Amino acid sequence: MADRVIAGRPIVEGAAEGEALVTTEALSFWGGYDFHTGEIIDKHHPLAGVRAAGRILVVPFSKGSSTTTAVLLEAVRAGTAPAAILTTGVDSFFALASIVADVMYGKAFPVIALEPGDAALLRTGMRVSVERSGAVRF
Amino acid sequence: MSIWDLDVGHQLKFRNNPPNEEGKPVLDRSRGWGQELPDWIDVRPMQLPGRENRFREPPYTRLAPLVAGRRAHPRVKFLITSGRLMKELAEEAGVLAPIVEFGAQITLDTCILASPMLPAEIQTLMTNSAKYAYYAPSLLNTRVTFGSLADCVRSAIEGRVVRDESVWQTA
Repeated sequence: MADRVIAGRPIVEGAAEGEALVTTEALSFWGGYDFHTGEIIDKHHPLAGVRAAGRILVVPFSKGSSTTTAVLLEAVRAGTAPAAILTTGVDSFFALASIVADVMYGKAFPVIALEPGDAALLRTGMRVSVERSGAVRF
Repeated sequence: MSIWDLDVGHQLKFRNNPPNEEGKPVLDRSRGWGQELPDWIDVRPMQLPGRENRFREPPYTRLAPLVAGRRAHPRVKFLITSGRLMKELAEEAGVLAPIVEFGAQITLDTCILASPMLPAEIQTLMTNSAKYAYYAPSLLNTRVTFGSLADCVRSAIEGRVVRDESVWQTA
């Protein structure tokens, strides 16, 4: 397989692999993500009704309430969180959820910051792997 | 209408992303407020009525004269959510009585999205909170109309949606 590699900046280090789910619209996990099902439920969001559980979620940043962190943390506990979150720029809410999930449940997920141009190379449905170094292969 | 009738933080998010048709009137309205601001805003600190040195400007004070001597339509539930201190201040200022007589149901220290308070038969929500307007369709499964505080009061009295459309016109 002829991999392409993006050098991301690991905000929370970790390895993950899965199917990419890509959006250019920011997402609030509070009010926008059902941690029971791993589904995006914000009816105004282009991914409304789509399950992000176990996928590599590519989203520019979180928006809205800081409770995004708590909902994402619940999703980790319930096993419905994305396998990794790739952002453009550093998103402290996503990172905090992963860091606390590691402390509480021993389950962190990688949070990687990408250059916007690099994030734009990723498409929904691509098979993507994330390495501890922050390298993203697809 | 004052800008405090709308949730400015919510509107500014449109500055970076072109809004859809639904968001356009909001963008058009807020565009003029930010002439001196940069194109991209990371943090926009603001002080809301009822907070810090605006502590004595609770929304209740603005609501009282709008509802004085009136009653909400029997088919309408007029719900208020606020902090406990705001209600106590309103009581102290003597503005709570007309609001209660109007038929308002006040719920303290929580929000309509976090605590169930909407009777099942209510399927349409009118609100002056951009946050409620944004999230209610997803979390409460209601239809939503967004209006100013005065619009909400007039609608509650008449039992149908009444909005001052002039504030949505662009120059």
